[in-house]
Amino acid sequence: MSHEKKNIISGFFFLALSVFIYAVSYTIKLVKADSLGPQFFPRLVSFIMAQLAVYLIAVNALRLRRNREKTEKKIFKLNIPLIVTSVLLVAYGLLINSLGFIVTTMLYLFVQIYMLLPLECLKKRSYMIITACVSLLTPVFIYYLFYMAFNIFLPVGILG
Amino acid sequence: MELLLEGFATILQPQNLLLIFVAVVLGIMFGAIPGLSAFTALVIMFPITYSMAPMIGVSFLVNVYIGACSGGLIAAVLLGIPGTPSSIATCFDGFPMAKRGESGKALGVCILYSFLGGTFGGIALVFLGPIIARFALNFGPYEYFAVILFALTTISSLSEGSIVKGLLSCLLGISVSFAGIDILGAYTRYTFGFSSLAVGFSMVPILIGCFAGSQILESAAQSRTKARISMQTKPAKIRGFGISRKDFIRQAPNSLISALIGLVIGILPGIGGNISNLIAYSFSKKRSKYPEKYGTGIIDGLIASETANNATIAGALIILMTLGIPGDNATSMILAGFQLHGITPGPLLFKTSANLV
Repeated sequence: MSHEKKNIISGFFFLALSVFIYAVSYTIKLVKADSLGPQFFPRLVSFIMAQLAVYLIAVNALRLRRNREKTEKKIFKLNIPLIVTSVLLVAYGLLINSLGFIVTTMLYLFVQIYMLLPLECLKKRSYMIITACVSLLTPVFIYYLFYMAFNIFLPVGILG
Repeated sequence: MELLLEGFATILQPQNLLLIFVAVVLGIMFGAIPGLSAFTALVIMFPITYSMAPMIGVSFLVNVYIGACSGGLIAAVLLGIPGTPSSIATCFDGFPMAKRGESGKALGVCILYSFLGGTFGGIALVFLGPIIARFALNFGPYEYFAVILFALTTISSLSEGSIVKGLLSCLLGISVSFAGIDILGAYTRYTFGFSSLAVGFSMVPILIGCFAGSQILESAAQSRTKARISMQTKPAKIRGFGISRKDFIRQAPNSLISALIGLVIGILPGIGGNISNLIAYSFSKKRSKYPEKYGTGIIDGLIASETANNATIAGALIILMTLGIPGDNATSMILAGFQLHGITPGPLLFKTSANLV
């Protein structure tokens, strides 16, 4: 994806965010009428954000139009490791309390290291054994480090 | 001066020096682990000081604080994730240096200038503390607003290429702070009915999410491409702290200005190291003859960030000791330490407990 297209998408994201911030500011319940109350600053920020977003979209749309003839068409290809990692990060956050830190981290680490390893390493058995060992031992070590040294209790989940 | 020497005599006793060493090491351990802040370190170490003499107990807590603030540089350089918010700018040049195999040099420079920044702040605390605190008291809402606005605009200018995107990122950060209870009016806003959002977002998870999350995604995106960056670089050999005498002299103005920025920002309650390192980095970049090299792994950026964040600690202690105002939650734990040992911070502290200061 070209630089300009990325900027246009960012611009639309910020424009949507500014509209969202402005709209939600109406849900703040006020006890008394106050022009500089809790709604003022979010609205001010959303207003500036919208203006900057429109500027970003407009400038990059113009640049895109100017450069359209020069740029070659690139074939869009899905980046599987990036998608899997994004899903993994969200799943980790959702599952950590129910499954517990150790189990969730073990699963996460194994899949994440698998995704980050170069393709040629995946064919070698030794890499897979190291990945499994790291995935199994690291969460246990971190859990006991936090528990014994820092007195911080990480979620136990199904192991509790 | 007599009281100062008396204070040094107490501190320099072997068992006290050992305790201080332990405190700094523990602080560094906490600071180096992303997610554990100086506040966490102080909360955990606080009960240990119950049985200590007042001066030793307080210096133990202060050293845990200093260690935790400095320890953030380790994760910042080696992982590209700031261990504490005060080492955000250290990532910008520290991590590229580590990728080039210059992690030893980056860590050496950071440690040296952390020490120098801290020492500068310490001297300022002892000799100029009350004067600086009186100056800081003149800061009202307008001045605070100006400082924050200045910080936000300088941070925006750090974004390469487009100032508009920098400003938008800044506004995104501000938007995150809307969630929770409005400080001025105590109104609840942007919580969407979630009680856990009533206190807003915590700084540390956001920091880890921004830096660690983005780095994981970047590594994932490049993992199966030819552009993948190799981390298996041969480590470069270093001598001493990794900085030559010539470079040390050349960097003197940069470090001095950064230390001053750190000290002044540290005095202002509620701002602190989170901002001082970014302002010092930005200022150093602005006055540099080669600003385009910032972010590619040069020591100038590291020096600005680390000198400023360590000088900030002294600034925070100045306002704590002279006026009894804690600048952040970590210094509020030190204030609790003072109270636990029967010491009342305030203008009289410099007269009644000058040896402690």
